[in-house]
Amino acid sequence: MEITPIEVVRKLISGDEQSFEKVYRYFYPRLLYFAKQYIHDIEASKNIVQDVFTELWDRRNTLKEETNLNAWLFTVTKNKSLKIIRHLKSQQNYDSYFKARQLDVNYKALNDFDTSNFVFEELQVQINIALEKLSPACRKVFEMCRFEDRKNREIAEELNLSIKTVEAHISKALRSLKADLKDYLPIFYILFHLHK
Amino acid sequence: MGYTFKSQISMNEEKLLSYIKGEIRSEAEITEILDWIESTPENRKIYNQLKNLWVITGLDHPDHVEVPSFSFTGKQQKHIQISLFGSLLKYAAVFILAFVLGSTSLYLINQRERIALSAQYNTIEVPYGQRSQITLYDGTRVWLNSGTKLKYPVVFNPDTREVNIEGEAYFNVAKDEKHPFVVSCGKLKVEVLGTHFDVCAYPNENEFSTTLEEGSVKVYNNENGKFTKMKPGEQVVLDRKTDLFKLSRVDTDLYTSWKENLLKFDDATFEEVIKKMERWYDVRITVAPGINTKERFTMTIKTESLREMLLLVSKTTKMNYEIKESSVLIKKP
Repeated sequence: MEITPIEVVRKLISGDEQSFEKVYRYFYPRLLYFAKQYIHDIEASKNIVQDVFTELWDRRNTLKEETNLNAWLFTVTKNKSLKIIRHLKSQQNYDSYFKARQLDVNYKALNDFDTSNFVFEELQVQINIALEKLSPACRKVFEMCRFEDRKNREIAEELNLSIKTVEAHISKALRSLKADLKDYLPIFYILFHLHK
Repeated sequence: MGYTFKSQISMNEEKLLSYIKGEIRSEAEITEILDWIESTPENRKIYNQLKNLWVITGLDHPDHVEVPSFSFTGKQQKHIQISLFGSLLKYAAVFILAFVLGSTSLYLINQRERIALSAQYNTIEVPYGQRSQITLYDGTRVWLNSGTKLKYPVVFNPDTREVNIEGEAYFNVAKDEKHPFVVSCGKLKVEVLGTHFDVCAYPNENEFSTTLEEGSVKVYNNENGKFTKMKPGEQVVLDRKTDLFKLSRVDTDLYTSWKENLLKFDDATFEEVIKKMERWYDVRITVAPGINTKERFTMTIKTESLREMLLLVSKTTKMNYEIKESSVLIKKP
C-alpha cells in the first residue's frame, strides 16, 4: 500500500472518511504493535491506539497539508504510551516492584525513540536495503528470527546450522542494521535529512 | 560508529535479545538483566538501542489483529479482555475442572467445550500489496499472499482441522495423523495429514490450483466428489468451468517463492504477469491496445518497488509505462 502523504492529509483535513479509513486500517496494527512492545499490555495498548485515531479525527482541522502524518501518528502514540506506562508504574504496589522495574526500563527506551521525523515508507526501504547487504544465509536467519518469531534452536534445526552459527548471524545482522538505521536510533540522532 | 561489543560481554547481546523477545521467564535471570541495564548509562544506551532497533525492524510485520471498526460520531469502544485469549482461558479452566472431576466427565466437557469453541471463527484478511504469516492453534504455519482471506476456528473441532481460504496461501501443516487438515476454497478441497503445499484460489480466477512441495495430499472437487492424489513436485489445477483436474509436474519454487518475498515467472504470459503484479503492488494495470499480452516472460522480482520494476520491464522490452495515483498504463514507446 502506498500512502501519498500530501494527498491523504489534504483529504483528511477536508473530512474525507474514506481516506481516514485507509490510514486507520493500515496503521492500526502497526501502532498497536509499537505500543505493545513497551507497555506489554494488549488491552491498554488497544485503547491507546483507539485514542490516537479519535484524536486524529477530532483534530483534523489543526493538521496542515505538509504535516508528516507518520511522525504525527507515532509521536502521539509514543506520548500516550509514556503516560500510560507512568500510570501503570504508579499502580504497582510494593509486591510488584519487579514489574515496575521492567516498565521503567521500557519507559526510558521508548523515551529515547525519536519519532519526530519518522517516515514509515522510507524506513521500510532503509531496512530492506540494509537486509540486502547481508549474505543470504545471514539474512535468512535474521528474517526467521525477527519476522517469523522462531527460536534460535528451531532455526538451527531447520537450516542445519549450529546454534553458535545462528547466534553469530543474528549478531552480525543486528550490527549491520544498527549502522544503517543509525538515523532512527536514539543515541545517534543528531541530524535528520529524511525529506528531500 | 556503532558500539562494538567486546567478546567478554557479547554474551549479553544474546541474553538482552532473548529478554527483548520475551523468551526469558525466570525472575532471577530478568533481575540480573535489569541490574545490568541500570548499572551504567552506557549499558542503558546499549539496551535502549537494541530494544528500539528490534521494534523498528518489526513495525511492518505486526501481529494479526482484528481492526475494530472506527466510529466517526461517538466514543470508541473500550476493550475488555475476551477475544481469543479469553476463550482459550475458558477452555483451559474447563479442562482443569474436568480433570478434577474425573476422566468420564473430562471427555464429555472437553468435547462439548471444544465443539462450542470450534464454532467460533477468526478471519484474517491481507490487503493487496501486502503479505503475511500466522501460526494456527495446532502449530500449522500459514503464509498469506496479497488479497487473501483466511477463516479458521478458534479451536479445531475434535475430528478434523478445517480452514477456509479465498486467495493464495502456503501451508506448513503440523503433523497429526489422527486429525486430517482440510483446506476448503469453493469447489476445491485439499486434505492432508502433515505436509508443505500452496493453494491458489482467488474467487475471480477461472482456475484453482494446488502445488505440493513435500508429503502427500488429496485434492477433491467438492461438487462432484471426485478426487486425485498428489506427489511432491506436482501441481493440480481445477478448471472451474469444466470441473476437470489437470495434474502436471512443475518447478514448485515458481509457485511458493512468494512467501520469501520473491515473485518468479518462468515462460509466463504478460497477462499472467500483470495479474500477479496487480495483487503484489496493489495497483490497477491497464494495457494499451497494440501490446501483445501473450508475449512470454521469464523473470524474478525481488523486493523492488513498483517504479523500479516498471523501469526494468521498460528497459528490457518494447513497452513504456505511465503511473497515475494507484493505476498504471502500459503502452507502446
